Amino acid sequence: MTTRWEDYERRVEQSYREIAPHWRLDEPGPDALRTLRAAARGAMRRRAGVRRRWAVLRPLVGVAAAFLLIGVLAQRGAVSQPSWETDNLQAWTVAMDESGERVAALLTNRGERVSIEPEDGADVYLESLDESWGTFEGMFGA
Amino acid sequence: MENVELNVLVRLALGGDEAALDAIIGRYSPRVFSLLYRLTGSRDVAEDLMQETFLRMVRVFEDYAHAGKFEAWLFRIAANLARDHARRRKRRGTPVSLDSGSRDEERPQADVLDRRAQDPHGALGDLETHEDLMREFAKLSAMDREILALRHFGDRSFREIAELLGIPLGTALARAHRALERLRTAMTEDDEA
Repeated sequence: MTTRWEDYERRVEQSYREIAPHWRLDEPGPDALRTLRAAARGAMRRRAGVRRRWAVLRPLVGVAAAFLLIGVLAQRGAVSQPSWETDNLQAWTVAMDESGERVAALLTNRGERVSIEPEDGADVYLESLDESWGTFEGMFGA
Repeated sequence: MENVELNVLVRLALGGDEAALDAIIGRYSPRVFSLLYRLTGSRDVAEDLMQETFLRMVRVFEDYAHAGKFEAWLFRIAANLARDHARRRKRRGTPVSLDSGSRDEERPQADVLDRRAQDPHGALGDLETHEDLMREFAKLSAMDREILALRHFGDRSFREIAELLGIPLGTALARAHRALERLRTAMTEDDEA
């Protein structure tokens, strides 16, 4: 069963076929064709040249990429072994030590009762700070 | 290479065979040129865009996965280039005319001249009909011209043309129908006159 569009398409196609025999092809000029053939051959040779060069360079690019990757990984490894002096670790640990007091001060400033009772929530803060210290130790092996 | 199947030619050209490339150019350049000429209205521009079409074809050959749709791919490149050209012209404000100074209209083709020598009335009639047709074709809107030129030179179905132009099939058919009616009416009027 044909659809409405198929019928319509067939009618338009029929109408096109009546016109088509009167419609000639236009020929490009011989100079334009010569230029086209030369340019296309040139482009094909350049493409082949690029492919050949790439085939030679590809292993070298692979080696360079591997070295780059090793360099990046080495750089990351260096960060995982921080220096006590240059990475300001002392200031970090002092801040961690003081953090319990800071939380207490914060709660006091907000007019809230400072307590270590679980229902008051303050111990949760402190607990998480203790955990963060553990994480910190784990990270840097302090 | 004249009678080699298109699939074989494309595979050879993909592998860098220059003779196959030449054969593809020989086979498709008249149709690509005709499409571009009828869309741009200038032989010079059409020749430039024809060159650009085949150069682009060579440059992006690696991205083309041959699945028997080479013609559709090639004519899509050509039609896109013609559309880009029209857009650039429009931005610059240069009017497009199909019969202003076109070398083709001034110079009948060699094959027609040959036929005219053998059968003066028949060949002259052919030429006149073609020219009448092209004069009327030039008056169509850019979209209508593109649809009919892709149908005729690109040998694309109306469905493929609708897809290529990003318009509904109904729109492509309605436009083609109206444009073909106009061409037919013009030809009939010329015959009667």
